Amino acid sequence: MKHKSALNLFLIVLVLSVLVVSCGPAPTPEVIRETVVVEQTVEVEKEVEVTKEVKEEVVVTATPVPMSEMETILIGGFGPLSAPGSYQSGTQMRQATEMAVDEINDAGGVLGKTVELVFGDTEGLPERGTAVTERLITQNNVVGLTGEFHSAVGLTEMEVAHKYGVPTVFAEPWADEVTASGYMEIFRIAPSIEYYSSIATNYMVEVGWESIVFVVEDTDYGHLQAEGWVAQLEEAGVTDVEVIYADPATEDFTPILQRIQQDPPDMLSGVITGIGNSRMVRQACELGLAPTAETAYYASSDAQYDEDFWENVGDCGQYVFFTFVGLPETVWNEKTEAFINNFEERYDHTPGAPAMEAYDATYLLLQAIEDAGTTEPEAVIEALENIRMTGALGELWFEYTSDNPVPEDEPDWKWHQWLTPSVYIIQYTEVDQTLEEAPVVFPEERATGPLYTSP
Amino acid sequence: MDFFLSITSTGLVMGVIYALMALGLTLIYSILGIVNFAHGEFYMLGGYASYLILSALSGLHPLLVVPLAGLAGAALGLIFEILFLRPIHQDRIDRPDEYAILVTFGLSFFLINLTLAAVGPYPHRPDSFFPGTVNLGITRISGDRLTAGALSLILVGALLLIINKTWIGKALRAVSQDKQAAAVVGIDSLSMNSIAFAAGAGLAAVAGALLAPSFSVTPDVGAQPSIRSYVIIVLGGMGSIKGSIFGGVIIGLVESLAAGYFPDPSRGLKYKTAFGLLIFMLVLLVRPRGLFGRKEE
Repeated sequence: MKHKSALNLFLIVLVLSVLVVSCGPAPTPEVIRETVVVEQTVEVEKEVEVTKEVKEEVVVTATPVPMSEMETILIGGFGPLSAPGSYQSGTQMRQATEMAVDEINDAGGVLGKTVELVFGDTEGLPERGTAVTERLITQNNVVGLTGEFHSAVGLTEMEVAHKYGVPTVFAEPWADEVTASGYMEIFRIAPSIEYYSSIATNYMVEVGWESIVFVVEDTDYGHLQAEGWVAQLEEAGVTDVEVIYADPATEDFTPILQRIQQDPPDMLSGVITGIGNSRMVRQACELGLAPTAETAYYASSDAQYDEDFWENVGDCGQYVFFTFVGLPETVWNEKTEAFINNFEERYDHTPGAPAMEAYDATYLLLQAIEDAGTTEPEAVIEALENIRMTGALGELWFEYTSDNPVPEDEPDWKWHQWLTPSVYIIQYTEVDQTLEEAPVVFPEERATGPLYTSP
Repeated sequence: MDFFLSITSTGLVMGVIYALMALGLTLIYSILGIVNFAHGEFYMLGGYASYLILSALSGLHPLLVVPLAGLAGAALGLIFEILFLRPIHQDRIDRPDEYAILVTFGLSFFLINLTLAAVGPYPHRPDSFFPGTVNLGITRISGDRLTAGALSLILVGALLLIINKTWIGKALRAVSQDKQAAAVVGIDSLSMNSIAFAAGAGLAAVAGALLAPSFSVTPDVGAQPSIRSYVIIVLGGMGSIKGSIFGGVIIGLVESLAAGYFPDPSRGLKYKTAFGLLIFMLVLLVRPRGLFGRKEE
């Protein structure tokens, strides 16, 4: 009886927690301010002494270790390495960051010192992002930060980095708010969500699909994407658009796919990160819903992990298309080629876009420290504002900075943002095609294959 | 009507598989009196065992690997029970209820992180049992899922037969009803504990191996099946085999019908699990011991 009562209690708490979490709003970043109480003694005419409390806000700063006392240059990395975060991508980001640090150390380090990386697992949770960043800055005394995959986590990390004034180069969070914050310390090389979404929107309009159903993950990433697509498609005159949100851990999409199958759209999209992407591709294909001659299938960018994709979807992956951030083989530079070859050799796996972005973000941060000649935050930030570097993703720089503020008619997210990330639409036209073999189908000027190959 | 039938058939197939998974948890609870919080991880290990064995022994038909995955899960369960759970029943633990929760939670975290370190974060999928789809007229269903459903049905039937007709089954039931009385007639309850835990872990591993070709495996794949199993066993009645079977089928149907018919499709899919939980709460309010739970004296 005692066991049963305990279990019943546990399950009821579990149920309530699930319901509360399901219904609750997405976590929002919290601005952290610390309040101190200062005691002040004031003399008055009657020569009576009183004690008055004055509350004032103070800016908190970490205690930096002077350069001369540093044996190594410590930088902090963060990203999801365990569930519920997208740990497949987070693992690749950590590997790429480690690879960049090793390469730089092999080449003599930075400012004559060895670089050391401390990588924190944020688990895809905003509160963990805050804790990890706080620890990296105050306990590990890192001089700069890089990485992160999830936007919701990046937004909280950004606040901590700003509080302590630590230069941060974000690799993957796409939320416009990351750079729209206008913080001096925050830089980003991933595309903003507005820019990323627009490439797929333009493609859909170009092909001419008129009815579209998006099944997107119920996260900040999914919502931002879906909202972007719906608004952009509406602007382009495509109004028959439906959005269905799903838990990214959903095992079985079949019932909802059977429902969609009652009135098949021109294009079905499954924008679910992680294993949910493959599950939905398979299940839509097994039902005979998509990809078919009537209904095209747009997968999440996880399809870029070609080995995993084909292993998990089998023949169902043929004719699926997806958005890819990075350089297609036709426009690889020397650094891209070296990065991909070295990554595959070192980790026995194809690197995805998050890996490439983490790699370049690490190089940018360390290059800025080298250029600044010091680890002083202000100097590093100034160096980042003036940097121009060829990375695995191409030529990297930040257009809008202190000397060249974002014009009023441009969106705020362009602040400290790399404005020309390569975003392409790629379609697998054959079974077991590698990422390099699959044709780029959009934008037209970079296309290596027809706009859309139908089954 | 066709849509209703197609949605219902999908829910029924999934429900039978859910029942198989929940049966393992029921078996453990009814004999050992503890809830195994690492049940989902045995499911996950079944999927990985199937994938790894097939990768190592190419040419083997994927169906032959299912019993091997079950045996691997059972063996691990047996070792864990002897090392960590037996002390509870030998009165060597001061606070057995709390200990059982902590030690099974600990096993869950350990297995997830061990798998992450050993196999890596990338999803894997064993070869299909039967590639392609079967057209049932009202809907198409994948060969893998149909096979998993059919095998689950056979296994559930076999388990019922063992529980009701064999000496081992009767001994397990005796221990579940009254340990002291069972001991009087010569049944070693410690051995029955080990058998029940191994069988429960083995059933979860079999469910994992059966669903791996449909859903693929990752280190955290056991979380949802695990939560669903807890709901099923309480809905059906703690310790009731019949309750687990009916509970599994009810949850399978509710999830499927909710996603198919809820007016807002987005909420239908998003709250798929929540609908099952609502049914569960309603049943508990009306019938606190679950659908088939026996009254405790």
